[in-house]
Amino acid sequence: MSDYDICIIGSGAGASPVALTLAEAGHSVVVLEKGPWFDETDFTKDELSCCRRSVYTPPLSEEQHVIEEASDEGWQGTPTSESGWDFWNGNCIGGSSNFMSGYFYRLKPDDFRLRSVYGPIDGANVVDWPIDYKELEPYYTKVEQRVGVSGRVVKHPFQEPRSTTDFPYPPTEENIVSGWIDAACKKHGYHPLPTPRAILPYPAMNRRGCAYSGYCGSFGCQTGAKGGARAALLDQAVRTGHCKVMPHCKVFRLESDKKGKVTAARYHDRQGKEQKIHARLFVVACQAIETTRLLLSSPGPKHPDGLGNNHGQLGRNLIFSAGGVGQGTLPYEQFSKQQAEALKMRGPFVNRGLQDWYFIDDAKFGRHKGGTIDFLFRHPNGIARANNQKWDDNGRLLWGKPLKRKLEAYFTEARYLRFEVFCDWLPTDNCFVSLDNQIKDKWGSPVARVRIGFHPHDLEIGQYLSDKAKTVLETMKARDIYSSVSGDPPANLVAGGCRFGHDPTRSVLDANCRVHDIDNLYVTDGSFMPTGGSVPYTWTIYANAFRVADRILEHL
Amino acid sequence: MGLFGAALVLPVQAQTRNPARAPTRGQDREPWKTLAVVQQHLLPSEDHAPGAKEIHATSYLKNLVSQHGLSEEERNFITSGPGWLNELAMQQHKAVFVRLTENQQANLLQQIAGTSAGEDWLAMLLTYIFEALLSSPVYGGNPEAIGWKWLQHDPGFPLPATAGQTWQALQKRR
Ligand SMILES: Cc1cc2nc3c(=O)[nH]c(=O)nc-3n(C[C@H](O)[C@H](O)[C@H](O)COP(=O)(O)OP(=O)(O)OC[C@H]3O[C@@H](n4cnc5c(N)ncnc54)[C@H](O)[C@@H]3O)c2cc1C
Ligand code: SF4
Repeated sequence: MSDYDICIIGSGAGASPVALTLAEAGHSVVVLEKGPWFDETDFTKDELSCCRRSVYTPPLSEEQHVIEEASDEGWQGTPTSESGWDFWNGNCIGGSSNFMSGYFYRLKPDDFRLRSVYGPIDGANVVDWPIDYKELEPYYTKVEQRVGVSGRVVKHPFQEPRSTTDFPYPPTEENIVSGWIDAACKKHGYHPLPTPRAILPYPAMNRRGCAYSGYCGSFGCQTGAKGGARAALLDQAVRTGHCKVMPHCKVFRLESDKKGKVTAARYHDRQGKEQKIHARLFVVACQAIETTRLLLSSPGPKHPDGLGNNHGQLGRNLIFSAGGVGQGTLPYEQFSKQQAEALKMRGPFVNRGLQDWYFIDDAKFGRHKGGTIDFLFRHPNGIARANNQKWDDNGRLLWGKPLKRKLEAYFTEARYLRFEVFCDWLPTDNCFVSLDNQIKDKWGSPVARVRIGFHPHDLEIGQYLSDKAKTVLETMKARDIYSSVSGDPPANLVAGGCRFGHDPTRSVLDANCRVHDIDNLYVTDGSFMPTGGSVPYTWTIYANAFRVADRILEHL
Repeated sequence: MGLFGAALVLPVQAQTRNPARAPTRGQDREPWKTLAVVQQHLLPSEDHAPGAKEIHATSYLKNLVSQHGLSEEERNFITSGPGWLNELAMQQHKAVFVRLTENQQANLLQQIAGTSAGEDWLAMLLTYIFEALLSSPVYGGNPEAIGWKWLQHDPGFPLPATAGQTWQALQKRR
């Protein structure tokens, strides 16, 4: 007997499009989320809540990961409660999408056939996707409209095909620096793009417009303008009357029967009591690492090694966003008083990206899949910025009046323009999720053990793009320009682990993101992605989840 | 609400009857007496720029320690520092740290900064000084946005305005 038609585990970007689509179609939906329910009234620009205390994520002493890094003695696992390297990104209704910056890029047609177009790379498990861009395009458009993406289409060598001429919302307000970036890019013959953002520039769809609070990424949005999954989709799903959202429900196991069908989700409620929900169909969207962890933790009569793991594929080919960061200083004294005042304005965005090297064809460097460069101001968090000033150039601690003079100069004499580079994190055999055989969470379930090896090719591409980004900062006469490219994964930009494909022996999900040999189990977060494209993932996660929701509707 | 709107926000401990006195309560006892002097070395007061005293750095830290806002390890580390400092002061000057001249104190701080534990301790104190300097006044530091004004820092909006919006309250809802 089923309590609901559909039970969705997780409530973030991968979960919410499914909840909304199915609830709108009149099906009974339940969403189980391990974290609490925060909303606009809870979100303020408080650096302590956002970034210095774990408020939106669990304490690492209670729930953690074990991260395996390469060392001279082989792969060494360190529990994050020891290292402090937090792999949680936002655990509450709406998931980490509450805290994203909302830089939204589509993938491009060749991202779906990377292996065919660029061929194999030694040591990397690059494959084509089982679907093409054409199949996802209508859903990218749907996300523009239903989540709300603002931007402007400009002519560009690698502009992906669109079924509509422009974005449904115009770009958000821009800082004066955006024009300076444009001018510098044009001098080089580059094609600066207004970065599309999942941010409403004005009120729409029962949400307020952006208030230009100046503190967006890492912060929850107080207006609902940011297209996080809760504000944009889940709230609407609840309003249909067909969707029940349950916070504080930590699912620890899916039960399946002899035929391999999933029958129930078992979870711990807020009091730690074990509960169970039955449904006709289950959708897992706990974010890549936790999705694999849940499936590995759910063996059944037909799946002794975990659901979807009969061919040992579950958890393999985890990917992050590869790339790097860089920065240049824009001293106010370099500008007129008026320009300096405009540069200081905290609220308006930079919103500039470069995709001129999304596909690289360079006489010296060769022909490669490249990536995206995004310009942005240094994060405004005051405490973090002050804290960075307490070391002198020789790495010695600074205090007293010399420290105060350094703080004054840092805070009041310049603004800092940064860039971020996004390129493909090649899937390899050294980046995967398994279960740790020692460390357990506070409920007694094994935690995820994540090996985070990267392919050296990623660094070469990251460096190539960083060097290009630096040319823009140099032309802008920025000072103290630096960049850093590393193989450290950004924990917030993660996908893979349950790649989709046609061959059940080499993938976990079929082309519709249904687990190959399980009739009623789907995965709709970023886990399905065999390669990640050279952009942040969320637009693609949303679009794919809307696509899969349509397939589920046909299935029911 | 602009840059200084936060000045209207009442600090959490202002719920005590005499908010003006709140910052100094209990600070005449160890380890707070020594910590307050060390903090003042780390961020000295100047006519144009606030120091540890003006930003209520000691009461901020004391609140954090007493309200279990820090891990036990951090708490112990912070509060045992004055013990080591006094041992060193006694060895070298036969007097506790707070009784030394400013120069002697500065000299001892330079000495401990030469050890990795000493440097870590001072670095940690600085971190919490920056919190007192630049966090919302709702947490008891940065009175009347004095830190934001000094560094012309725009803290964004909205700021936490009610006890329910503090990190402690939100954390309880996890
Ligand atoms: C600071 C920050 C900035 C970002 N900026 C961008 C950006 O600019 N552009 C972009 O495209 N992306 C950005 N992202 C990434 C974006 O947030 C993610 O790609 C997206 O939210 C992933 O969706 P998801 O559904 O996989 O995971 P989430 O949205 O995190 O949702 C997963 C949910 O599942 C819950 N869950 C996990 N395990 C269980 C369990 N066992 N039982 C019940 N519930 C469970 C979690 O608590 C969580 O709420 C950013 C992220 C962060 C943190
Ligand atoms: S109001 Fe605008 S700037 Fe502020 S968090 Fe929301 S989307 Fe970001």
